[in-house]
Amino acid sequence: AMSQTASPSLDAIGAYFIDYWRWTSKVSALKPDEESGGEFDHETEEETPTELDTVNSSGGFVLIGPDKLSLLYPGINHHDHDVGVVQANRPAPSENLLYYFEIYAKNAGSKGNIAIGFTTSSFKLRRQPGWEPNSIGYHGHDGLLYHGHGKGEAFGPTFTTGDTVGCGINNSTQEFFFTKNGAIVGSVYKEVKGELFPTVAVHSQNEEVSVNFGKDPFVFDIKAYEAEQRAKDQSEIDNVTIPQESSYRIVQKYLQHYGYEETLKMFDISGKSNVPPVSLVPEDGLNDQYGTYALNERRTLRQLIRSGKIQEALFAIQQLYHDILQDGTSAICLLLHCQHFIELVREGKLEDSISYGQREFDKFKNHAGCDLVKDCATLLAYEQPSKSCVGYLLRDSQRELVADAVNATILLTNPDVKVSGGYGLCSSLERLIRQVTACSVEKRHLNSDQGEVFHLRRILESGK
Amino acid sequence: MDTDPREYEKIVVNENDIHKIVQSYLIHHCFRDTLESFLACIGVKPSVENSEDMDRRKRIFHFALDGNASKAIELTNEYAPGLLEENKDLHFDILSLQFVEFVCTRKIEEALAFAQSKFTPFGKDQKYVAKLEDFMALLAYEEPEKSPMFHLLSSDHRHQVAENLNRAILAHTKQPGYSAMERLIQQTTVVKQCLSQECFKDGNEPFSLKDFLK
Repeated sequence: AMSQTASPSLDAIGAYFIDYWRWTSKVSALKPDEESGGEFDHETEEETPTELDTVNSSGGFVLIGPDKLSLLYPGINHHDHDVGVVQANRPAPSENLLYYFEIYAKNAGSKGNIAIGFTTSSFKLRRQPGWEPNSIGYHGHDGLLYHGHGKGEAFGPTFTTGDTVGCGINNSTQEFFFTKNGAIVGSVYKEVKGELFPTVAVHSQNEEVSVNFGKDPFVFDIKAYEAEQRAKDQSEIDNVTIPQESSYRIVQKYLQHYGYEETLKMFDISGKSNVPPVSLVPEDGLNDQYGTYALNERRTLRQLIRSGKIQEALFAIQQLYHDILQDGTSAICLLLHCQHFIELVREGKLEDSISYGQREFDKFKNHAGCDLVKDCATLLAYEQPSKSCVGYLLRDSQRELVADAVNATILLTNPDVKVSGGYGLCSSLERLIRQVTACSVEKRHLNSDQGEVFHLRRILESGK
Repeated sequence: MDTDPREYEKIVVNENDIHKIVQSYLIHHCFRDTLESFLACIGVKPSVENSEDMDRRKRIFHFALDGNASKAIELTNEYAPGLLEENKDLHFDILSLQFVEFVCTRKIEEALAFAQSKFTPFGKDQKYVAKLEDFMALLAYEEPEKSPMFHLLSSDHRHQVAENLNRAILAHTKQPGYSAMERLIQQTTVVKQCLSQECFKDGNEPFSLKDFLK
């Protein structure tokens, strides 16, 4: 139930920030002891393949050694459906730039039908990798690459007893690549999507192969290959030239949006003498005008809210922008009243907070944001509210959210501006960060969610 | 391809990260006063090393930009000893700025003397010979601005060299050579272009930062 207000668009901003609270509170609630934003966890190591899978094996055709890193084909092969094929115990990790493993041909047996490749979990474990859809295999006896059907393509040299052959996934180029005795044989586009299991196969009498998933050093210099790929990716980024004014404008708009008036003054003065000097062509005077609209008032209000002086903020808003409070039922009002409640709890004035709540919260009982009221009230249930699941409300981030909401709503009262899109909700800088994050997710999604995950922290922490 | 804006409004952006990006920009471009003001607003103490570093880099930058190579080199050697020895390309580029300054102010004799004393040592290395020839050729024209090598006289070129010097000094003093802000914009551009190519194989508009900022 939306509140009945005269100006729906002003209230929409408040409503957006309540939504934002709702989205982020779930994240914040899960981490009671951390400041918000700590999603980037250096330590989560994905599990990687470590040995051969003995559970799903091609029954009876192949013997797996006790170390689970070697296989032998003891019998005689008769047809195309008695391949001794084995997968690794886990699929290739999904968040790496590259994945790689090697096999060593101990014995090519009577026919040298050793194969290396990748298959999915639904692969028929009686066929050579590559002979079935959604699999790929490089075969030793003919040096052909098989990727989905019985006819292979010329790819590389044959391989036999004594050779070390490697197979890998490159998530940057979305390719499979193969090596023989330390040298690249070739690469091919990775059509197969989804989880991929390293796969080895033997298919004639006495064929014997051992597998290395990384426990021992690889014959192929995978580290150099990875470094090369990273360097290529990095140079693509390095080659993007940015017009000097762009970064300047983004910072300028950021300072304007958040009302850093003093800093903005310095910035404007310094612009002429900085490195490199910025000569801003005013694209349209309007641009600057609405950036600096009510700069002083917004900054003052931000400071008040950030220091918890909500009553004073409410009073000031009442004087200067009573429109945004409307009849006291706007989403902004809800945010401010809740914040004052939180401040009272913070100071330990529990009785005061209760009487304040009783006075102010009743009119919001049917409001879409009443769950925020509920969370605030929950603070009262705990002796140490800051350590509870709603403890995040006591952090700076909540004050910041309310300050941002007030800031954005005031920007909207600028009579000179026609509202469009997400104007005023946040500065260009945040929008840029959101763009790159969302687009990176999208890009990874196109590669069936394989490859490195974008983290803003990497940019912040990189030494280059 | 434009990601639906409503989807990405849900992405949490951490205030500390934003502050770091802004700071990184200000430090990189030597906005000392602005940085101090900003840090005061967000309640962070400025570091003395940062302030000194910015002042020095700023001076060096402006000397390079003005074509005063000897001063720029002197200060660089003082602040980042060994840097120019390790970066011969950069060293050459800075010297060339001085040379160009002489040419532009029509001080032909000085230009020649400078070239002979400073440039010639580079001529021993094959890869600089072609560059040398380009610069020396400027002397042959009455109006070098109208010569085929006019781009060597442009302010863009000077900016580029001065900026390269700034980056090299930053790297030498163990700071990032590219500000986080730049990296952010670069990465966004690359990712968006990649998506455009994937989703609209018949060619889409490249990501326009300018449009984005409106």
